[in-house]
Amino acid sequence: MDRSNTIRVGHIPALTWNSLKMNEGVLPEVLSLNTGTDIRFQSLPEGVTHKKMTMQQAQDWIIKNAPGQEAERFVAGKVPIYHPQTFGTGLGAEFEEFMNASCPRCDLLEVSEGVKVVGPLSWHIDFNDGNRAASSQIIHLGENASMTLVLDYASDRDAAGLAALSTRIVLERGASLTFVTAQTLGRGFLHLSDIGASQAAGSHLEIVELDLGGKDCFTGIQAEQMGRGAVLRGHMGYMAVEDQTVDINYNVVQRGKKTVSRFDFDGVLSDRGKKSFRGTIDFRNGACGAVGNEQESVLLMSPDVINKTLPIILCEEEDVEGAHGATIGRLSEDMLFYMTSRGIDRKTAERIIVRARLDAVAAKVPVQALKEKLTAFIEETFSDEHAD
Amino acid sequence: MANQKVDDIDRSFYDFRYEEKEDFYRMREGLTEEIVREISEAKHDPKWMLDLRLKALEIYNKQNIPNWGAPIDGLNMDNISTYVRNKADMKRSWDEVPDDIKNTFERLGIPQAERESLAGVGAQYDSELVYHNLQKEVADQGVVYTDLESALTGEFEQMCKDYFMKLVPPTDHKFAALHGAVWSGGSFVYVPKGVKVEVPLQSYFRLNARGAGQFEHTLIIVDEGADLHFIEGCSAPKYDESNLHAGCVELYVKRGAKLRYSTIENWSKNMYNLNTKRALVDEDAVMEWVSGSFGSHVSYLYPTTILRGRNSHCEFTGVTFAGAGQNLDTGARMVHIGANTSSFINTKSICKSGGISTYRSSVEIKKTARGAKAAVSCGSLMLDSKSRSDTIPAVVVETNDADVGHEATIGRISDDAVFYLMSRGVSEEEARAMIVSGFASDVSKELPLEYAAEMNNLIKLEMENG
Repeated sequence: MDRSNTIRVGHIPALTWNSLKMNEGVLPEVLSLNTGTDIRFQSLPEGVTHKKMTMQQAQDWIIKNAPGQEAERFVAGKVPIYHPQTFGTGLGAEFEEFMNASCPRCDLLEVSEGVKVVGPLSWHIDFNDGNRAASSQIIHLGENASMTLVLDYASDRDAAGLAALSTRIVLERGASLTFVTAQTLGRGFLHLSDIGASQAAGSHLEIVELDLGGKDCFTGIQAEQMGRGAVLRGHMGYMAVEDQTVDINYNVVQRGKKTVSRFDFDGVLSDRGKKSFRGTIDFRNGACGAVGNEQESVLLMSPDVINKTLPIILCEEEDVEGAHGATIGRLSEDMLFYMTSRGIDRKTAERIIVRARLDAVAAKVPVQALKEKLTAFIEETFSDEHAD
Repeated sequence: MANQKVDDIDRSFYDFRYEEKEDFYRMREGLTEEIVREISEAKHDPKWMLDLRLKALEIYNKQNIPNWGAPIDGLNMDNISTYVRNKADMKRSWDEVPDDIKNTFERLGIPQAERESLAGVGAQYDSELVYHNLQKEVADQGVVYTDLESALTGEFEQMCKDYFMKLVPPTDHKFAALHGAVWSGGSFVYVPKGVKVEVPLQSYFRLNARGAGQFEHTLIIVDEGADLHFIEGCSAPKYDESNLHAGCVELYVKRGAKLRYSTIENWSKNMYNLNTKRALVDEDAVMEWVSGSFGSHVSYLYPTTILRGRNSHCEFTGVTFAGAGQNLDTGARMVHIGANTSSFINTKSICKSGGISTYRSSVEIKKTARGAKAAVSCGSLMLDSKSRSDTIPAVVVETNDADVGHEATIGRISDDAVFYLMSRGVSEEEARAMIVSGFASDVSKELPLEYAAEMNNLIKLEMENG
């Protein structure tokens, strides 16, 4: 197909060899929408408000309320590779332009200063076969507010379409957000998840992301740690089976003193599954005492899989600690031997180990019913399609 | 122990120069077909080589400057002379080498190193080899170590034709194409089957001319079951205008053979070092790279190893020190093609005084490389917040029958470690210097310092009296 009109997403902030085809993701089709999403909450806790805005109003809100970020074109010593955004997101400027032009509205969910929301707030979106829909939301937590938000979107297993989601998170001083997303779309879906976060001093953001369905999945997270002591913790689980592709771009910019980031990525590739991971820890000058760590673990189940990993550390501050690690390979023969010696046949043992890897991420989902649904989805995938 | 501190590398040892005299020939600046033809004629190229040069020039003109890596805006080919040579021919007796050139290499300790610990030595001054020698007992084993130009027209012409720029074709990238068009000088080495060269061979490259480029080509074939250690050193005096080094190294390690290729690079800070090195490793063969990058204004250097044969193995050990005014983009690439191949990359980067260090690598496990194993370990040490250190390692795996591990760390000198040493009576500055030395030691201990006196002056984590 002619891809000249498709958009590029998830640019890394420092390019590497073009021959590796890892500098960005390229969408497999031209984006267009044919319907919208309708988000309603039956009731909201006290101190939490939900408001619908046009995309222009959303842009104005971001400019007025989000802490100012540098619209960067350069990283010192690098070629100009940033595509400037007023509010940085993981998928980047071209996807933002598409959303601004095509998405009908943006939902603003706000938690007032000091409000501690008890229990998780759930947000479910159903996609039907043939739906090509987008959803944009801004989540704003005032000073010292806290909330757990669960965003769950799904469709029938055989459904096809487009699910494009944009989530921008603004955490004021001392705010705390646990943001859980779980995607179980049909095998014909193009899935795009774009997250941008801005963290003021002392704020705490935990992101749990499960990308299990869809045909082609592009997910991006960019977090700007503006304030001293901001903390980001994340755990992502994904799988790519049959002809699924997963493209991940994660970028945390640590500007504030004593900021902390830690992200774990756990994935399983099977059949002809493909995955590309780009993860960047970007220590800026002045981020004294900052700590950043990213770890990736990939299980390769078939000789036809393709795994690409690009973990980047950029550093212009002496007083930091940065680390990344990756383990990519087969199931441990020692583990399989142990399990078969206990009477479990090899295929079953393989399924148990694979499920355990993804279940470890699913276990972090705070809604029991959703957790069970995700576990069942994983179970079904590896039972139906990979059993003899 | 005297008080010490960590300082920039002292390059004054290398920063001496002799002005070009009438006995030097200097090509006019720029890059045109006429210039390429003139170089080819001056070097008495065979027809196929002229054709290769012209084709490479065509490719160069079509290729873009890389959009990744350190900026090379300051490099203008219109200001670079691609061919500068002394009018004297290459000598095989040291006494016959012109005085200026001889003095240069003697100050760098090359003849002394040859006498003491090398089986053979080649010395290139600007665009041409000025001296080449191989010990008789090594030559008697059938080892060939000569300048590439001689090999091109002698009994090894067909071998040169079969291997020259086959591993690094001019289409590889813009500066490989540039090299193909204007290459000059360099060495040809052939080690016959089963021959183990007990002591190293060394080539030393010196670029003395102002505003010039050096484009030497090193072609080494280590035949089945043979063993060789080859050492390469390079330096230049500093000028205000840019100099360019776009050399090319092609290494063929045949079945069961072993090659260690050690490099100490200490170009001056006006040098753009855009060098390409590549090895093709056959079944059961072993390739080892030891690489120290200390000089140049901008470096692009990523020795690449193609593990083609079953059970072939490669290790890359590298250290990079970027000081004021330097932007050093270094690393390594491994391509696993054969079954049960294995590789290990171990690098250390240090930056201070505003220096920029980028570690860039890739490990590619192709579908055919079943049972492959690869590990990458890279550490970076920031000595101040004026500097910058980036790590950009890529891993591509196309089979499930492989195990790949990667780890990277970046940080400063540990306060705890400094405190511990200070509690043992060591001053803070001494403690920091000791820690930096320790950080680089597992790489620097692999550098063959004992083989060439010149190398003793390269790693100067200078410990000065406080």
